[in-house]
Amino acid sequence: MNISKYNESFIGEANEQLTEMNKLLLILEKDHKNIDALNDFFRVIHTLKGTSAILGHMEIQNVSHLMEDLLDKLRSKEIDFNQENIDILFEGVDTLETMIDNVAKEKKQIHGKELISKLNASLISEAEKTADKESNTADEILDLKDIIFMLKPEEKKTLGAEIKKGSNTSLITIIIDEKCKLVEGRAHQIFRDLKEFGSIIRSVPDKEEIGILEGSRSFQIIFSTSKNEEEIEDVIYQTPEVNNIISEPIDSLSNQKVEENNRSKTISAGETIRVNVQLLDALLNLVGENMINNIQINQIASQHKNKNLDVALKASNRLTEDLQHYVLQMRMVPIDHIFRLFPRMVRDMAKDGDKEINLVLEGGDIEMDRGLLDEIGDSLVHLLRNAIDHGIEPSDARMKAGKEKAGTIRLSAHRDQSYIVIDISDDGKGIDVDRLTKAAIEKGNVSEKDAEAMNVDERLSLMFLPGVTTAKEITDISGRGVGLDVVYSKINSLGGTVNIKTDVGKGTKMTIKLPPTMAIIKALLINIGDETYALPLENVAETVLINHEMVHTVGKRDMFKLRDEILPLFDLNNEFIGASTRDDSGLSAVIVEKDSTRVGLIVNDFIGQQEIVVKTVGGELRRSKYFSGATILGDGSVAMIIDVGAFT
Amino acid sequence: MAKDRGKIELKGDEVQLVSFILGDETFAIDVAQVHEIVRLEKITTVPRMADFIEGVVNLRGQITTVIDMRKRFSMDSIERSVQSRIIIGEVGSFQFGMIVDAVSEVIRVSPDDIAPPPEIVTNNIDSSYLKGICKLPGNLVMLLNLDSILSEEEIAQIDKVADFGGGAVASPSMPVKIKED
Repeated sequence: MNISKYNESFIGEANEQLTEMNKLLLILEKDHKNIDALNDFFRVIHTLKGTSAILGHMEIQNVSHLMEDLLDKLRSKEIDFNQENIDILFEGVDTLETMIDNVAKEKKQIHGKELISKLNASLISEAEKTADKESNTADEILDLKDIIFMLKPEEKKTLGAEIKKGSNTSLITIIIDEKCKLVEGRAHQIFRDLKEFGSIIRSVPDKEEIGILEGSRSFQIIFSTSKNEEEIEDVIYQTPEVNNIISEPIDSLSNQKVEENNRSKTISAGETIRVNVQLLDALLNLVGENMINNIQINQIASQHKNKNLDVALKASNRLTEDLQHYVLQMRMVPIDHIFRLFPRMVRDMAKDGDKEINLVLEGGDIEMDRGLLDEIGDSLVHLLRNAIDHGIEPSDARMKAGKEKAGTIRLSAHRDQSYIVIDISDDGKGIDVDRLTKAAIEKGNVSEKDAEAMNVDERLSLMFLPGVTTAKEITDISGRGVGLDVVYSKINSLGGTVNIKTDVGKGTKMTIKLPPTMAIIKALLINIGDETYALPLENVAETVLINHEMVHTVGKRDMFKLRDEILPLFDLNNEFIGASTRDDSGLSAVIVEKDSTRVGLIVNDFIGQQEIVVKTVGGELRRSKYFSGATILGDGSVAMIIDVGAFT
Repeated sequence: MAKDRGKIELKGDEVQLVSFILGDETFAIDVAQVHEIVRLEKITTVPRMADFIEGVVNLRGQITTVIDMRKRFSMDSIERSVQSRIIIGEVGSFQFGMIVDAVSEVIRVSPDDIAPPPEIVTNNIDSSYLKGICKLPGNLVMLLNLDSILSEEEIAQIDKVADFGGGAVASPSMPVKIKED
C-alpha cells in the first residue's frame, strides 16, 4: 500500500475533524452538560484515532486515544467537567493540529509529551480519588476487533496466511508491574524471547513506543506460533516484573468479520471524493473556452441553415450548459468552511487580550466559489483581528462607557445580486479619524494640505495605506500597520471593494464586496452606436418599447411611467456617445434592476440573450463604474459588460 | 520572461530598443517592456474613459486596453494606415496596447549613447515621460518611460477626466422612485 496516497485524504479529513472538534469544544465550554456535543466529540476523535492508526501515525493515535479516555470519563461522570478539562482538550486539539500539519508537510513528528502528561494527570488524579489503583494506567487495552482494524494490509495478509497454515495465532496482552522502572527494557526482553518461538506480527503500541507514555504499563502483541498458549505464557513469565498475561486466540471467523466491515466502509466512502482545486480550475477554463467556441459554431451554422446541423448543435449546446452548471456547482462551497474556523480563533484572541467577545456568524450557508473563498480567508482573519484588537474595548472600559460587558463582533455574509457581500462589524470604540489622519501625515503617506481637503470617507481610507496605524501599542497580532493595506490590495485584485464605516464610540463596520467568480453568466446583448454591450440578465427586469409621449422631463432627468411606477430613464446613446436616439418609431428600453431600484435604459436595439464568459479587465478600466468586465463575442470582438449599478 | 531578457542585456554592453514613429518624431521602448507588436484590429470603444483610451482588444482571450499615443501626447489625430500598429507593452504584470503610426526597427545602442532627457523636448511631450534621448547618426530617438505613461497619478488624472468630462446625468445619486397614487 502506498501510504502517502492515503495521507492526502487523511489530512483533508483530519482537518475537517479538527474544525468539528473546535466547534464542539466551544459548545461544551458554554454548556458543560451538553451530552450531544460530548458524544459527537467522542465519535469524531474516535474516528481520528482509527484512521491515524491505520496509516501508522502513532503520535496522533496516542494523543487522540488519551483524549478519548478523558472524554469517556467525562461522559461516565467519573471526572467532573470543569474549565481545566476544557482547556486540556483545546490544547489536545491544537497538538493534533500541529501533528496533522507535520504529516502534511512531511516534517518530523512531535510526541506531544507535555500534553500527554497533562492528559494523563487529568485521568490519574481522578483515578486516585476513586482509590482504584488498578485503573491507574494510561493505556487502554484494546479488544481484538480494534487491533485487527488497525493492522496494515501486509500485516493482515501475514496474519491471514498464518491462520490458514493452522498456526496458533493470538492476541497477547502483557501487563508489567507498576513498580517497574523501565517498561521498554522488559518489553525488549519479551520480544527477544518470543521471537525464538514464533513471529510477532504486530505490537500495540509499536515496539519503539512502548514505555514512552507516562504511566503506560501494558502492551499488546499479535503472535503466531506452533507452540500452545501455556508454553508461550511460560516464556513470557521468564521476564521479571510481568504482572499479568491475557491471551486471546485469533481464529479465521473474527478475521472474516473484520474484512466484511471494511468492505461496507469502502462502499460508503465512495459517495464523495476529494479533487485537487487546480483540476477544477482547469476544467472550468476548458468549459469557458468551449462555450466561446460553441457560440462561434452557432454563428457559422446560422449562415448555413441546415436543419440537421441545427438540431445536433442544439443538443450540443444543452450539454455544454449542463457541463458548465455542474462544474460551477462542484466548485461551490458554503462560506461556513471558513466561518467555522473563527469562533475558536476569536475565543483565543479574546482570552489573550482579556476581552469578552461574542462572535455572531450569519449567512454561513451562502455558497461561493472555492477558489475565491481560499483567497479571502486571510483577509477576513486580518479584519477580525483588527476588530478584536483595536475595535472591542476591554471589559472595564466598556462598562464605563455604558456598554454591555461583552463586545459583539458580527460576521455576516449575504448575496447582493451576484455579488457576495461580507460585513464585519463590531460594537467597539470606532476609529478616531483625526488620529488616523495625523498618523498618515506623520508617516508621510499624505501631505497636511491634501489631508485637509479630504472628506471623512477619504480620510478613513487612509487606513488602507501601508504603515498607517492608530494603535498605541503593538501587540503580537496587530498594530504594526501591516494588514489593512494587504487586505485592500488582495480584495482589489479579486475585483472587489472594501468599505469602512465608523462611528466613534459605537463601532466599526467593514464591508467586503466580491464580484461573482461565476465566470459564465446569462446576458442580454444590446446595441448602442456601433458597439455591442452586454447587460447581465439577472439585472434585466423586462424590455419595453416606449413612445416619446410617455417620457417626461423632471428637473434634468427623464422619467417615464411604466404601469403604476415612475422610473428614471437614461439614454445610453447619450450617456456613452453623447448622441441621442430619438426616432419616431419609439424607443427600445431595458428595465434594469439593482438593489431593488429600477431604471429604464434606452438602447438602439436588442440583439438577444446569450451566455457570456466574464473576463476581467485590467488597470484603469476596472475603475470605471459603468462596466463590470468584458466578454468576447462569437466573432472574437470584445463587448463591455454594463454595470447597472452606475445608473441605479 | 520579459525580465529575463532585461537581465541578459545588462550583461552585455548594449540596450535593445523597439523604435516607432509618431508624427515627425521617433520614439523607442526598451525591448524588455514590449510584449509583442500586432496589427490594428477591431477595437471596442469603452465610453466614459479619458479620450486617449481608444478601447479594448481581444488579445488571444485577454482583454487588453489600448491607448492612442497621438492623443496621449496631444498630437493631431491622423487617419490610420496599413503601417499603424499596436505595441503591446508591459508594466509590471499589467499589459496594455499603444497605437503608433508605424514601428520602424529594433535598434541596439550602447547605454553611453543615452543622454538624460532635456527639460523641454517638444511642445507636447513632458520630459517626465522620457527615460532619455538617444543620439543616433542623423536621428534623435526619444526613449519612453512606459511606467509613467500609465502611472498611478496619470490614471488618477484620467479618472478625473472621465468623471467630469462626460457631462452625464448618470451620477450615482439617490434613486428616484415616485409612486403615483
